[in-house]
Formats: sequence, structure tokens, C-alpha cells
Amino acid sequence: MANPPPSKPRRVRGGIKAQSKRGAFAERWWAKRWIAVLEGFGLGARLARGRSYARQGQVTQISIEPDGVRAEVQGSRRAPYSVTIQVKPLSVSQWRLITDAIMRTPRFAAMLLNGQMPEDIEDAFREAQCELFPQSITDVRTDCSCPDWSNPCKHVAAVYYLIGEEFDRDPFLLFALRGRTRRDILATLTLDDEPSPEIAPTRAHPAPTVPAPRPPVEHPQVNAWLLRQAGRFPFWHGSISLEDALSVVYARAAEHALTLLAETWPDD
Amino acid sequence: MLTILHAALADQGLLLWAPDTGVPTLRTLLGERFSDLTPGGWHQTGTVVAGSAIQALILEAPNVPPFLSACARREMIGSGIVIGEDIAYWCEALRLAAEIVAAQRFLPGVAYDKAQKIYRALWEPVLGERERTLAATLTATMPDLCRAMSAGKGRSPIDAGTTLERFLAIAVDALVRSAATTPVRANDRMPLHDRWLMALRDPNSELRATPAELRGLAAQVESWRRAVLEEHATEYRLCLRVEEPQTEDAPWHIVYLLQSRSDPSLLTDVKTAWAKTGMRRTLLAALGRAAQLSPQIETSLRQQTSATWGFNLDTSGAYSFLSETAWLLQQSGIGLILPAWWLGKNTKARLTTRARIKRSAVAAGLRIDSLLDVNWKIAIGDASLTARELEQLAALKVPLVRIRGQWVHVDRDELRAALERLKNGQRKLSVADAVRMQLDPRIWVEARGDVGVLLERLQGRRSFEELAPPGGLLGELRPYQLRGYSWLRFLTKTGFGACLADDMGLGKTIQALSLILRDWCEDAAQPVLLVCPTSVIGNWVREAQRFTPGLPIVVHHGVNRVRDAAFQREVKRHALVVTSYALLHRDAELFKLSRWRGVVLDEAQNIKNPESKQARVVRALDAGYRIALTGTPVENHVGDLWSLMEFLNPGILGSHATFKREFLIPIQAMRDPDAAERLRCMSGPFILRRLKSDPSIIADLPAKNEMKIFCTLTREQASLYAAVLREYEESLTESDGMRRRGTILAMLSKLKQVCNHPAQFARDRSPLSGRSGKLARLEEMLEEVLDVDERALIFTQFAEMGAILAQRLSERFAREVLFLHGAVPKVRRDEMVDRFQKDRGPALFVLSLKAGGSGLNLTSANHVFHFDRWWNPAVENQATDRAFRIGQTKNVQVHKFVCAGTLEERIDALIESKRAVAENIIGSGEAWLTELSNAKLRELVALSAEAVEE
Repeated sequence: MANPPPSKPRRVRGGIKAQSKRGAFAERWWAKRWIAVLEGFGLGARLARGRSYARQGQVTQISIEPDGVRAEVQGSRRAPYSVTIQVKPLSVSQWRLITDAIMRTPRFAAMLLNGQMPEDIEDAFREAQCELFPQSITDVRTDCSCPDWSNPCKHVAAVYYLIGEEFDRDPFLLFALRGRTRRDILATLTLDDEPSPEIAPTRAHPAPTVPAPRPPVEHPQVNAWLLRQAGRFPFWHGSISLEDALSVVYARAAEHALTLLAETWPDD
Repeated sequence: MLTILHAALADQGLLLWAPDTGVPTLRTLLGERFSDLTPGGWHQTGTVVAGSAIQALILEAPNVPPFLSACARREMIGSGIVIGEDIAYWCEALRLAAEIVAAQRFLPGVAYDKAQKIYRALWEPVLGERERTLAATLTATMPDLCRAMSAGKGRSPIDAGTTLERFLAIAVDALVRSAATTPVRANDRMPLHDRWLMALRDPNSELRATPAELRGLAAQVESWRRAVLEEHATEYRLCLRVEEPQTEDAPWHIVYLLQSRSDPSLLTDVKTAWAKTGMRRTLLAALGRAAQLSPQIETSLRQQTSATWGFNLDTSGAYSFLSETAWLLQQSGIGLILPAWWLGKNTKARLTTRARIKRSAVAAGLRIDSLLDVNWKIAIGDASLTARELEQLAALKVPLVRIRGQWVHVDRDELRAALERLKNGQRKLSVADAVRMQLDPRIWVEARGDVGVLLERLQGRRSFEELAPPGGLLGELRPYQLRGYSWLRFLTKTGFGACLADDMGLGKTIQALSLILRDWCEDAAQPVLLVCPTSVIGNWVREAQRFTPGLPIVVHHGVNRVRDAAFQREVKRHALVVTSYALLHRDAELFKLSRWRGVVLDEAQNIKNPESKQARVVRALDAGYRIALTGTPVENHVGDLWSLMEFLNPGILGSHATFKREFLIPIQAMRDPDAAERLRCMSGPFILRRLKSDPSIIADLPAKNEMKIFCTLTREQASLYAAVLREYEESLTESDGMRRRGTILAMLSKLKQVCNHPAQFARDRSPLSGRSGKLARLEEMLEEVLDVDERALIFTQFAEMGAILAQRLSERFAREVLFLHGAVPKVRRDEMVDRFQKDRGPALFVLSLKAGGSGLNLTSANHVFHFDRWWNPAVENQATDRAFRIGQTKNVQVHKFVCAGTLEERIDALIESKRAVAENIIGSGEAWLTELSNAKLRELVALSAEAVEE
């Protein structure tokens, strides 16, 4: 059957824009694997359209729900299309085998805890007689409310690419799509027998007994370094990047604060 | 009427209230002072504090930083509003918040506001080690009132830790937000993330969207920030130790360790750590995070199946690890143990420039501009390097090299500069250059002969010649004054400028006069110019008459002062020309034309602003030597130091811009200890400061050090004085017996009041400043007292004068001033005395001379000022002794104010001369004065021309 003529989608302000401008989507090997599944579908031109939709920011919303991914994509019609993507979940016993394998290799946990997917983690999955990544069409169920009868369509493809990019940042997302959240996994590793450190950034230590002289204020060597350290924002759809928008605020805030300090507490 | 202001934390900001003060009054008082805060910055609310309902003002978040900043380090704001200790606490907390913002330790976020039921975009602080330690101290010291608002009905107040957290959150958000420019108003059609960005920069932080969108955003923000915020609250952290090899080609080891936070010297290797379950997660998470910052760490994780010990690097890898990766790791909370030589602590391993100065050929003694021959050597540790070796080092690809058994980090810029000096360096230096280099800790100067001796003396490593007191000096120099005088001579003889910064009362005047006398005796060629505040001119003249009567002095002051050519002739005939700062600037051209033996600045803080006219004129004078006298602790006021040093030794601290860059900002804003140390090295040799409390001085000072301070009258006072004399002239001749006595006492009392202040005399509420010489001098001296955190009693025999002083001083110094007079009830009196004696009590206490009885213990004062005199030594001494008593641990300085050229001076002289039999004859009152004849009285009360300041 012939492909329908390419339609022009409505412009979106902002939208979730893919980070990669040219060449391959996603940098890390596991994100690439994910995308390989899609590209194995043999969609032809729709794939290209999907890529450009992802780059243009036609996808306006993505949310990860317990039962899969839901997204909204702006097409040529007024109302955006609804897209869902579901990956076949793994069984309870399979997960048990997998977490055992992770436990045996401390390096795995170290990397996962910090947003990295170990290359040989697939071996752990294979031992559990399953694959980490969806291998074929049957492992992935997709749906879209657009009139195009092809499934996956270009809208699904766009969302698929963006999810791939998010894997770059958070490999646990893949596990979540297969049935176990990050919290679940960490909870079953022996590492979590101790209470997990609370993410409470302002919780102070108990008071020191001997007052020490006031240590000097550090001068940041790189502007907005903390912002950079936090890295890429998941599914960012603002019209300019987070860093571009806020770098100036960081610089000016630090300058004003230094002036305030020098004027209010001089000579101390 | 004084009122104390309090502040407690509330949801939107701070709640302000004052006991016994209604909100409208408070709003008016504060509104006056803080008129530039945003309107609507104050609104009223009813609330409950410690169980009772009160009215309070809400200070909203955006206004909290400017308000607290204005309150910081002060005791009072506006008229009669005392700052409560809780507000002072919030000021300290604001300081921490500002430091957090200055270090850019904040991240954008989103949070649900339960009270208003909306979501807000906000900036949240992210504390590191340093901030946590400071916060811990703050938490432990929070006054209870700070948390008073957080209790609802029947609920207990929220703990201090959480309260501080909330304050920091409010303050950091307010600070960051105030720096952002407000963008275009968001509308609901914009993407959610854009709206979030705008809400972060808008004064209104509300973020509007569907509940699902907002929850989603909150989850995304949490996921995004997790990596950064996961600073473990655990006892241990990951630490990397860099171990250097013993030979050039061997590998460097980077070893993983677990380090205890409370005792950084406690280290465990990873293998042992792995066996203990409690530390595994910390270790793994930290290693994982470190792996993202360093590819070598990531690789190391791949190569082992079990917990890994670390990794190896070659020298090039080690260099990039040390110079780049190390900082990143440190920033993310990972400990680092680096070699001492890398951190620059071990000077043996640093590249040093040495200047070897040859014995000088100058015969007639070294001066600041004498030229010296110099040889340059570059060395590392003890070993010097040849030019060729240096070139080899400069050609290295990696600036880490092993030299003579030591690893050295070779700074390429330093190397290039060193090579340059070696090849083309100056062969000749002036003594001033040599001194400047010597004081710079980065250059090593070797000098022999008299140059060496000079440099050692400047650095205090060798003593300079101690002189005998100059001939013609009346009165004794105490041992420390002899040393000060010798020091002044040593520096000025070589052509360096000197700053004598002794504590008040140690006798800077006599030390300076000794030097001037000596120079004049040696060679009566050119005069010395002395510049001082107008109120002190009389004092200098009196002191010179007393100690160095042989010195011809002229005062350049007043409408009839000499000008033009006559000026040149006049000054040449004198040893010392005294003038004021005001006139220095007005007659600048005159002063610039003369050649001065030396220029002495008294109260040198008057030129602390380098751009001021007087500072400029003073630098332009043609002076053989330069001396500055001041009672303030000069080295503590970094900002003022440049102007002073630039006058004394031009160029020694570089240009003003360089000074700001190298010293002012690093020291004041960033508290850099290295910069502070360098500044101390470079200015130290030219400043001599002794404190009353110095052990070497205490023995030389009498426990009770009494001094007369000679003041002048203003023109207004002088004409009032003359008017009183005229008024009583007739009555004096005409009356006799009892009436005569009464008349005399009335006249004396009026004259005293005139000498005090025209406003006291006239009993009107006229403005105070600029109308009394004594008041001006008192304010100047109290400023010095307060600057060193000392305390003073101020006595006056007049209750009205006491009231005037208390109010005036309270306004002038923006702090509480206690005032005790006859009508004060005992309970209140005891309370005042208690407060004054406490550590952080008010520093100034005005008392009427006969107030209270004996039994007042005011020993925490170390200064006593007698603003006016009761001419009965016994009564006066009793007042003084309230401060000086057994139990007094400090020296007490007693300052007696005397208006020169008036009855005060003459009656004082009379008492002094009769001192031996004074107690017997005089009795307990001032009635003895009425026994004198009219002729004698007229002599005593006459007004001489020199009494007037202008």
C-alpha cells in the first residue's frame, strides 16, 4: 500500500525537543539498543518523520505511568494525538534471578546508582532467560489516536526516540518499563538493609563542640556549576534550554550576594 | 523611650513585634527607616506568641534580606528601636544564606504550599560541608523567640533545626529571586517548563497548571536533582589518595579509601570497608558518582569483579587528575588526599626566585632610593638551577617533574618569569624595591651587610638602635615610649614612612614630639608640618609647651593666619607648624610650595578615603619623612589601609585597583587567609601598635592613667562666654558678703555651662552638632574607644548636660547609652549597673557626678571621661574610683576635659599648684573659690584669644 502524503504538523511552542541535532539519537549503548528495536520494524519514511518530529518538539507531553508510557504529540489536527507504549513485563521469578545477579556484581550497583547501565548486565538478564531489551515487535505494544493506519506511526516513533534519550540519563527507566521501579530494585538488594540516606539537603550535622573560625566562602570556578552537575532535565520541553535560561540568574545572584556580604559584614 | 523589636519565623517571612508598642506606631517607626522596601511590605496580622495574642507586622520574604542587612551589627535602628537578640540571630542566618548564594549552591525546584494550596516555583539551597557545620552552630544557638510563631493552638513549637532550614529556604529564594530580572508574564498556553522558568524569576512564585501536570513536574524535578542531592548523611565518605612514585617512570597510584567525616584522619581501605555492610552502599554510590566525573575511575570499576582498590596513572594522567579532576571530585563531596608539594605547603619543593643583593657601596648610610647590585638565582628547595635546566623544564609537556629527589609542580608562568629574570633581569634595585620584594613571601631575598641588616630590622628579626631621650625634653619617656621614638627614628632616617598606632593614652604625642625635637636639635633647617583635627590643635600646643618648650611652634589657623610669601618666611622660623585637615585642603597651594622636614598626621584615619581632597593634598606634599598617628587598629580595616600606606610609602601596596583585586576583595568577601597574610607581611614593618594590655607595657603604665584633654571653644561659645563675663562684671564689684558668694558661684556655674555646650547654657532644644569643642572631642575619642570594644563612663556635674550627652551619643553611635542621675530610683539604678557590668551590655554610661552613693561598682569600664570638672579633687576622685577599684583588671584611663584659655584651665592650674595642701584648704565644695579676691578672680575667668578654635 502506498504511504499517505506527508502532512505538515502544527507548530508547537516549546515541546520536548530531542537533544541530538544530527546523526544518531542517544549516545549510550543501551539507549541505542532500545532505538534499534524501533528501527528494526522497517517503517521507512515514517521513521524519518518520527525523528524530525522528535527534533522539532512536536511531542508536548510524556509521562511514565505504572502501566506504560503515555504521551501527546501535536500533528496536523488541532487536538494532539494520544500515544501509548507498553513493553512486555518480566515475571516475578525472572526479576528475582536478575536482582540476585546484580547483587553478585557490586560494580553493577555502583553504576546503576549513578545513572549508568553496565555493559554486561545483559548477561545477568540472559541467565534469567530473558532479554533486557525488547527484541521484536511482539515485545512492544504501541497505540496512537492518529488516522494513520500504520502502527507504529510517526507519532509513536517520535515518542520512542525521546524515551531512548531519557534512557541516557536514567537507565532505571528501562527496568520500570519492564515492571520494577528503581525503588523496588534498590530495596531488594542487600545494600538497602541500612536506612537509605534521606535526600534532605539542608539537614544539619550535630553541633560541633569546639567553635572553629569561620571558613572562607568558596568562589565557584565555573558559573552555575551545580546546575551543570545536575545534568539534563528529563523530557525538557521549554523553549530554551534550562542552562541558557538560568545561567544569568546564577551569575547575577552570586554577584549580588557577594556585594551584600562585603557591605554588611566587612572587616570580619 | 526605647522599645525592643523582635522577629520570629512565619510561613511567608518574618513576623515583627515589640512589646507594649502598637502596630500603627511600629509601622510608622519602621516605615520611616525602611521607606525603600516595597510598599505593602508591612501588613498587620493578629497572632499568638507564647500563649498571648498580640498584634504583629508581617515582613514578607522579598523584604527580609534588605531588612536584616540594615539591622546587622547594629544595636539600634531608627529612633529608640533596639534590635532584639532574635533579630541579631536572623542577621547571622542571613549571612549564611548569602554565602550559600555567593557559592551558587542552589537549585531550582517546585513545592506545594499547604497554607495557600498552590504550587510554587522556588530556589532551594544545597548545603555542603562548610554550610552544614555553620548551620549546626546556628541551630544550637537559636533564641527561643525565633520559633515563637510556629506553634499553633496546642501545638509545640517546631524544632530549631527545621526552623533554620525554613529560614534558609526563604532567604535563599528571596536573594536569588531579587537578582533575576522579571520576564514577560507567563500565560497558561505556554509549555509547563517555560512557565516554571518564569515563575522562578517572578516576584510571584505561583505556578499554575493541572494537578497532574504539577505532580509530574515535581517528580521530574526530584529525579533530575537526585544525583546532586544524594550527599550522604552517613558517617563516612569516599576518599581518594594520590600516591606519587619514587622514580620518574613508575606509575602513580590513586587509592580508594573510606574517610570518617568527623575525624578526617580515620581512613579505611576499601577491602576492609567492603566487609562491613554498613558502608557498602555509601561506597558504591560514591564510586558510581565519581565514575561519572572521571573516566579513569569508571575504567577501574570495570576491571575488577569485586570491590576495587583504585587505579594507576602515568605522570601525564596524574597531572590532569590533580589539576582538573580533583576539584570536580572535591565539589561533589569526595575527599582527596593530595601530596603536600602539590598543595604548595612544602616550600622546599617550590620554585623560588632569589635575589642575592651584594654589599652596598653606598658610604653614607642607606636611604630608600639608594641603588643596589643584585644577582638573580632560581632555585627549587636548596638547589639552584641553571638557565639551561630551566629551559628544559619550560619545554616539558607535563609540568610535573622530579628534581633532586622531589616531585615538583612547575608553574609555567612562574618559570617563564624566572627565566626572564635570570637572563635579562635588572642588575640594579633601589632599596625600596628590595624591601617590597623582601616582604612578598613569594620572593626570597638574600642580602648582606647593611642592606641585610636593614631588611632584618624591618622584619623585626633584628632590633634597631635604641636611642637615649633627646636633650631638651622635659618629662620622662617610659621604656616603651623610648622604643617607639627609636623606631620612628629608624624608619624615618632611612626614608620610610611610619605609622604609630598605639592605643589611646599611651602617649603618641610625646613620642612624636621627641622625634621632632631631636631632628631640630641636630639641624634646625626645615620645619615639620603637623596636621590634626581642629579640636586637637589646642592639645598639641599644650603638650609641646609642657614637654618640648624649646621648640618654636606656630599654629596656622584662624582668620588672621599668615598667607603667601609671609607664610614661607614664617614657617622657616619654626620647628613645628600645626594646622588642621580643613585648612590643609583650603590652603593646599601654600603647603605644597614649602619643603617640609617631615609631615606628621594625627588621627590619620582622616585620610582613609584615598580620593578625598585631604588625602590627595597630603600625598602631594614635599616631605623628607612621613609619619601617621592613629589610635584605631589599622590592620583590621583593610579598606582604609591602602590610603594610609600610599601616603607613608607610595607604591608599596601597588595601585588602588591592584590592591582591590589582590587584597580587598579576597580578604573581605572571600576571607582568603593567604591574601590576609601577604598583606600583613607587606604592611607590618611600617606599623607599630602597642595595647594597654600588652604585658610589656602594663608594667610601665600606672594603673590609673590621668590625662588632661585640652579643648577649644567655638566662636559661639566664645561670644557667650564674653557675654557672661560682661554681665557679671558689675555685680562682682558691687556685692559683698553672702550675696557676693552667691554671685560668684552663679557666674562660675554659667561659665562652666558655656564651656560645655551652648544648648545646655540656653536650656533650649537647639541642634547640637558643631557647637562645642568638648563635645566634638568627646565624640572622636569615644569612637576610638568603641572601635576596640572598650567601655567608658562619662561624668558631668549637670543633670541637663547628662541628658544631652546621653541622647546625642545614643544617636551618634546608634546604640544604647545608659544615663544615671539623682532622680533615678534605686531599683532602676541597680538594673543599669548590672547591665553595664555584663559582657555584652551597653558600652557607654553617662553619670551625673553625685549620682548614686558609694557602692556603685562599674569596673567593666576602662575609660573615665570627666566632661566638666568639679573643682574639688576628692569628689572627682571618688567618681573616678568607681571604675578603678580592686577587682579592676585593666588599666583605667582618666580623661579630664579642660577648655584652654578659659577658667577651666586656670583653675585647674591653681589646684595643681596647691596640691600639697589642697585637700585641707579646699574642703568639700567649691566654696573656696569665693574666698579669692576680685582681682584674682578676674584673672582666673578671663578669656584668652587662643581659647577659640577659629
